[in-house]
Amino acid sequence: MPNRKNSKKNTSGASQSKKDKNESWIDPDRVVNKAQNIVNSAVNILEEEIAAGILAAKNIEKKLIDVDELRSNPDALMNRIRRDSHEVLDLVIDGFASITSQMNEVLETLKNETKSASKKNKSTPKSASKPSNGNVIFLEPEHPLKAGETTTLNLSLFNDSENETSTIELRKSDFLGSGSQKIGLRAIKIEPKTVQLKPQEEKDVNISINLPKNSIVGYYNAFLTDVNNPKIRILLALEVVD
Amino acid sequence: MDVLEMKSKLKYYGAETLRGIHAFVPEKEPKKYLYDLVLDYPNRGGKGFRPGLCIASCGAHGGQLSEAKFSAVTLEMLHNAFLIHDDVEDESLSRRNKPTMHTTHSRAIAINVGDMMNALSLFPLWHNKTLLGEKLAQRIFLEVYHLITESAEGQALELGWRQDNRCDLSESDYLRMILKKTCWYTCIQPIRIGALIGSKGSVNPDNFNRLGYFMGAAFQIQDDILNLVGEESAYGKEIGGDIIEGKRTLMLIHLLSECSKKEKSLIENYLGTPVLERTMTDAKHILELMHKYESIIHAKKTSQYLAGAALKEFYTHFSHLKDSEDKAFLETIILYMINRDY
Repeated sequence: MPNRKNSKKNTSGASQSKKDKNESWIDPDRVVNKAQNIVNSAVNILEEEIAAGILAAKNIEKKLIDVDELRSNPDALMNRIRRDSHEVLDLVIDGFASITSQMNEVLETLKNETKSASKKNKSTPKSASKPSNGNVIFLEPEHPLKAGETTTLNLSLFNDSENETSTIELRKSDFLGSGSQKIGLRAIKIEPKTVQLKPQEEKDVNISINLPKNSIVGYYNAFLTDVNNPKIRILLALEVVD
Repeated sequence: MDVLEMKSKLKYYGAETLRGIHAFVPEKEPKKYLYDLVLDYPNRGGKGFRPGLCIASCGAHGGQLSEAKFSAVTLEMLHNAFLIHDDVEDESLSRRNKPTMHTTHSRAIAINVGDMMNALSLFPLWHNKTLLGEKLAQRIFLEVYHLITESAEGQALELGWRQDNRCDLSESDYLRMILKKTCWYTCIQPIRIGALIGSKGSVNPDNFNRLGYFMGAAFQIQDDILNLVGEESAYGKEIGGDIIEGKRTLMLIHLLSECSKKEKSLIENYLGTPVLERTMTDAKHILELMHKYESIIHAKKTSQYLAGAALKEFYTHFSHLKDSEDKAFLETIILYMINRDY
């Protein structure tokens, strides 16, 4: 601190040092200097403390992982192997989560494309679509849902074959959120579970979604496919709000 | 955003956090000696500064309140646990306009209630696993582990200085002590945790260390000033209590470095007397000396410099983020610290 020693020695009265100090607060250069000194001092302390923290953490790690001791102690070694295996498993799970997230992105893109297609053809109702080979049907509730809410979507299935009967049995996936959150496939109910369609016959399927009360806010996608014909693909999308 | 809007948002975040705290307190016995008391300090209505910073940092980074709620509950529970233990350690008489827990119950009961609050604060972190995913939940757990250890180290420094009646402390000693005792848990880590949640783990939390430190230091110094010049009803604690407790504030350290030898010896004697034997007359005399040597003005200016540096850090690390209420909220808090006239 500038002038600290001078003012300290002036013990005959505080009035003179008070005057000096008042002026020092007004002088812009000294104010900047004082501010810089304080901030620099704070920055140095912060850096020192962070460095000390890192060193201490490394020392703890060192104590926890003693290679020689591990080698000489078969039980500890086995424990270590088990722990490392868990870590490897975690990595695999992380990789799987990453793949799931990428799949989600693909689904999002498909969803957007289907959305823009449905905008072009306004006569197609949003919640009633007809499956045909190679297309993804997009189903979405009219409004975002709250945790614990239920909604039902209607899907019209049409057998465009002239002479063959078709059996459709839809298989469900979990709803996957944009992060790692998900809603289990038990939230989706399909009625009837199996549909038999005669040639040129049309039938309705009700898909009800019953959101668990602990559903986390966000966007989710689930995928339905026909067990007998994997080319029938249905994307269920929804938004959970507060 | 103006100051009133900022305070109202802070109040809202505080109320949401309090609701969360209630949800995590078991409804079982022993209520009279434990669980009712666990809710005592939170129900008195603190500022909710720490959860507010965490939720706002999350919001500014694109997250939602619902994602930060468990971490906010942990921060506020830990803060209240620290307060109960601090009050025992400092022999404080009032907290949030009411008598401290150890004065209305026993010291032993108060310590145990603080212990339980520390334990209860862990459970929301466990729930972060389902809310945010395992990886992010683990990172937040380590953030909380760090803030607890730093706070205990900082508290140890301050208590040790009082035990040894240290009167040779410098401003650097003080800045180090409040970094550890206050800044990590009050500002640095709440901002880091909020940013991690809001960005889904993509942001480097180290970016916010300086911002949080400067904010936290300015906050602590201003809080210590209010203990000397504030109104008791607004401050919630006994005015001048820090002098009675012998707390090594920036003002006291400044005074010890500026006053005459005779005055220094008088202050050293005062600080060497057991807390309960110190008189208000002596405390008032020390307060007069702080005015005489402009220790309070010095502290006000120092806190203003630090708040200014915090604002610069805020612009560096938040300017690129989309404008939002939460971003404006954080900026207003810092501006409020800079412009504060007590």
